Amino acid sequence: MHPIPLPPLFAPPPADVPLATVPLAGDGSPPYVMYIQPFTDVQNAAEVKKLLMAGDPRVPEMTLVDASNILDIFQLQLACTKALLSQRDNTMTTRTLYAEILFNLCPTNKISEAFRKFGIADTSTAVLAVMVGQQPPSAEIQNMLATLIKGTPVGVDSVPGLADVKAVNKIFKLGSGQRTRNETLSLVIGTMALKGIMS
Amino acid sequence: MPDTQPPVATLIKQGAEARVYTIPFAGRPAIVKERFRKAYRHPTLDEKLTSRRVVQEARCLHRIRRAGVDTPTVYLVDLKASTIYMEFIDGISVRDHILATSPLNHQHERELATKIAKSLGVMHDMDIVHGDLTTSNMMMRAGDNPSLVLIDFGLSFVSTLVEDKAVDLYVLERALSSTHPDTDSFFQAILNAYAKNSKGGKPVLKKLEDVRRRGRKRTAFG
Ligand SMILES: Nc1ncnc2c1ncn2[C@@H]1O[C@H](COP(=O)(O)OP(=O)(O)O)[C@@H](O)[C@H]1O
Ligand SMILES: [Mg+2]
Repeated sequence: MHPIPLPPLFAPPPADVPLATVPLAGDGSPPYVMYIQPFTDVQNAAEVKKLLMAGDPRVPEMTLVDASNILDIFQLQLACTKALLSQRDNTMTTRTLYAEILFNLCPTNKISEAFRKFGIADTSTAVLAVMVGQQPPSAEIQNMLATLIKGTPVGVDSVPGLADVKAVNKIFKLGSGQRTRNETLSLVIGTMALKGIMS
Repeated sequence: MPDTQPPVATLIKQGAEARVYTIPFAGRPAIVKERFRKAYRHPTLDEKLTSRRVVQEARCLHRIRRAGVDTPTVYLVDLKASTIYMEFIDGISVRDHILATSPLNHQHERELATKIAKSLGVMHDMDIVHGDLTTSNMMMRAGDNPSLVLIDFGLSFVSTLVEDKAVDLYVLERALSSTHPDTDSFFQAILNAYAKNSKGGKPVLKKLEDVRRRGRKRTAFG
């Protein structure tokens, strides 16, 4: 799996201590990292989904994301970071970190909708396996994943090419106005950031 | 940044209400704006007020961006720490730009005034009042035909009142004349473009006359 650093969280110093620089390494424990493995040409999405839902022991703990609504791994990085933040604050909406990541990807507050729109679907052909941890997943877990998903493992660079911009515009209600891809990504990211505090 | 260096946030602005730091953010330049607590306020009340301001700032940034006005993209909001992580704008403030290029030539002045007026027009048409319109709170992205970016929505609020929008413009007028002498024609160009480009512009400009009169009285007597 490919390690992708997560943005560090900022712990403000006391108001009466104006520091020119504030260390971000916090408590000295290793930072959380996102581990991702994209798959294309997935042939057994329906079966994988069934095993996942049943909590089958052959499925490692992870989030399985349908790649079509992910324009950029930045979306995933922020969904993971926000999930860790909610875990820290005891404000998670769902019961597990991995469900929370999926929930954070979705603009609406319905858990079922997040699963339906962002999770692996029976018809998925491109899937992103996402794990979060302070150390890399073991060889055993990586083998489980490779055995589970019948598809072609590809590099992280392929993620943008697996996205369906039209579908993203629809899910995030961005209309169909002419926009660069970067601008679309910005609106997606902003919408994710404001989720739950918008109105 | 090499992996061996522990990452740090670097303070770039210490204000009365907030501190702004640059921060490495998953390979993207970002800033984190921290609104700090007021020691003299009751802690729980203060926490509520502070987090309401943080939410308001992030909301306004995002709503306006969605409406097509350039603002920094909000990356993450941490209500517990009263922080907003957002895109770092690579560019310069309109303030520094004017100081560096004054006197503005006529054509350039008109272009810049139109950009500012369009942004303010869209914002006011959405019933968002910025609350602190100064040339430091407007930036221009680096590059050709730079986009105008509105920043610092720390004092922003939602209002349908023509008066509030007129005061917004008045604040800008005062800020312009105090930091940049001889900008009367520049401000007038902003008003002309504002009238043309915003739906609710005319009554706001009419109200601005009243606001100015009161403002002059206030300075004359007090
Ligand atoms: N997104 C940003 N990108 C680049 N610089 C920024 C950004 N936000 C703020 N700054 C810089 O930090 C300064 C202070 O930020 P601001 O939001 O205006 O806080 P304050 O309420 O203290 O004025 C700004 O004048 C600008 O120079
Ligand atoms: Mg400011």
